[in-house]
Amino acid sequence: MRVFISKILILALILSAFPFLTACTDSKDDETKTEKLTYYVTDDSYGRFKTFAERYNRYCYDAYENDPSYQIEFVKFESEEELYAKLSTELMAGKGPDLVSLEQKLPFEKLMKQNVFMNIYDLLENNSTDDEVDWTEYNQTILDACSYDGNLYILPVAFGNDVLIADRSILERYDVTAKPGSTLTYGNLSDDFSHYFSASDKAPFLSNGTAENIFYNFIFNYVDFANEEVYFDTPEFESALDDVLKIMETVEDAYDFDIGSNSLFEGTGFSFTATAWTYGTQNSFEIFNGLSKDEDDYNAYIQIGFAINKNSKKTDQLLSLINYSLGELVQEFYSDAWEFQMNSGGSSHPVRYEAFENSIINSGQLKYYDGGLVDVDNDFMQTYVDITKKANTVCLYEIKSESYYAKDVIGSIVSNYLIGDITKAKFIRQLTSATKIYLDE
Amino acid sequence: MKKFLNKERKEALTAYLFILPSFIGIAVFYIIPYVICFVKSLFVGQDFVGLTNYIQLFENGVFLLALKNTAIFTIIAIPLLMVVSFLLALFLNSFEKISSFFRSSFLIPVVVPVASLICVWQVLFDDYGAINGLLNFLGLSSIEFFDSEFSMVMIIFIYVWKYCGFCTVLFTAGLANVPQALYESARLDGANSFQTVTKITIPMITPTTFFVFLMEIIYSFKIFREVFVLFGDYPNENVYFLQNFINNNYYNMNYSRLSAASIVLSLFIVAILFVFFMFERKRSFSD
Repeated sequence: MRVFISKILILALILSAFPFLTACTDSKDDETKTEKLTYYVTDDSYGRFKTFAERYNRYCYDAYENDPSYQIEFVKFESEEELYAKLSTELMAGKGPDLVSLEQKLPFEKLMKQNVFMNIYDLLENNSTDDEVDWTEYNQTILDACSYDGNLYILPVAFGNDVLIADRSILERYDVTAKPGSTLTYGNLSDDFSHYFSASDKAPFLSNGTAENIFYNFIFNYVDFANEEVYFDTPEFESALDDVLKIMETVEDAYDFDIGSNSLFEGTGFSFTATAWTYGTQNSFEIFNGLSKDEDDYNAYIQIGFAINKNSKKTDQLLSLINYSLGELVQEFYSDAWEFQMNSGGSSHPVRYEAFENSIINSGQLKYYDGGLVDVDNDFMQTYVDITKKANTVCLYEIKSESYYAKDVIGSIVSNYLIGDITKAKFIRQLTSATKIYLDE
Repeated sequence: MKKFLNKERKEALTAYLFILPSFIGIAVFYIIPYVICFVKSLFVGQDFVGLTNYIQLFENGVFLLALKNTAIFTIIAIPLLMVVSFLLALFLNSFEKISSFFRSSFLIPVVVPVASLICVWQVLFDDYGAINGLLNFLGLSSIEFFDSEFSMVMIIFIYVWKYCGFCTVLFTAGLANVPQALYESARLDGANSFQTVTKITIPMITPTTFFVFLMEIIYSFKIFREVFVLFGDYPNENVYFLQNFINNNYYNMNYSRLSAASIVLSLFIVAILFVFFMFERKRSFSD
């Protein structure tokens, strides 16, 4: 009798386990629910990748007229909380959207190491297409930032770099000692800008951006995510921290680019064309690399980039998207004169070398409204090109303050410090501890 | 059928049927997820990697830090709580009558919401809080209770304070069941108070002690709520516990590491319980 009952109990256990086990396997129903590539968005979301995806959908409409499955479907959520809760649960269960972009608040530097994303090199190698990708034609520094252990987990479409542009007369007004074209380092701020810091009528340090972004840019310079190194407990960081706070006090949050705003510096992240168009007419501008941790650091960031969920089975659609993203047409389109003329804003440099060089040439062929050509053959533009070509310290995130690390790991520590709840020593200690734990765990 | 279902079998069947609902509940919510968790711990993504996740776990400095802190907390806080609550129970037991209000008041810390408790602790122990104010008044320098080695002391203190009353009530109930005749005999034989406690009280309440220990183990893992509210996802290195490690790996989507750490944590608890269970079987005199 006992044996019989025990068997019944085991049977009950197996039957109750059945729904769990089936839930963990690939559901064919779900797979066939949509043939399109999926990307999660909130109702009010916007961003570079979404714009890129919409543009890709229009391309698909022409290229695959009778097959809408190549398009990207935006799966909408009411809130970010709902989106990320679903995203993480689904990824755990072997499902989830086909695409995630660097604009989404995910710990990409960790996810790249956790086998969550598809290795794009493998995907292309195992599925030969007519358009073979020659990776030597692409910026290796940018690709390396998107890779781990020789595998490419994030596909970069365009990148930007940190430069500071200043009107010579304003630099002279504050007796800035830094040499034009050189690197402005956080460690040298107090030397280079001693007159500026002591001035009673300080102009804003930067015309666009937010004080928060300035602070997080500074912090990101002192973390090496790839090698899991932290440099917060260094004398340079400690002394630069005071200077960065002084800079933040001068900055009023402004999101729009504003030339001639009387600020010390004007923003970063322009394409060659935008820069040439804006500053080419005048001979009064100087350009600097930075702000950086070290003189040899030329900071860049991925402006449009996406990863592919390893669980995705839509190989044909993915190959189409990858080929589109890396293709000469898109690379040029997203990085040079075309976009600026169409007033769609913002992207700067292509990952593909040929498109990169073309964008420099193209910017010199632009005409002003009066018919005059934009001047690119000057020291200012040459310095900008040099700085961009030297990009060697690549961050995955354009807006650092919106990243997972900034929001979820150190967000409360930073806000506690900025509102004066904790001392500088305590801030550095907590920042170091939290970051080290985050990088190691 | 009638022959098959004799009285004994009927009783057994009835018993098993009574067990069945809770068995299914335990299976669905505990056993099966545990098995799935174990299976996940052997994979990275969809690739089977065997024990690699466990090996990597024990090579991970942050995991070892979390394990060390959890062990320190468990080794210090649980015995401390047992001793304090036992002594309090003995003290209360010395009174002939205790009002029910007084007895109930011991349970207040357990039922007060965590957030409210933390507010009180912050007012007391913050850098600019009451305790530091007092220290400064006495000419002493401030102590960063929440951001130094004192953090662990703080957490142990909060744990003991919060669960002390509850454990005292449990011990009081256990003490009430010890036959008074034993104490009277001991007194007639000339035993002093210390001997009475060590030779009669402690052995006689071993089942209660075991139960209290079990509850304390459970509560020690619930203390994560207080740690989380006080310090957030990334506390200082002194109070980074295994639950922080598991919780953060969930948000970092490192499910294989999270699963492996959860299995290790469960084995950690089972090992403690096993040791105590063996001890209890050897030392119980209550029967």
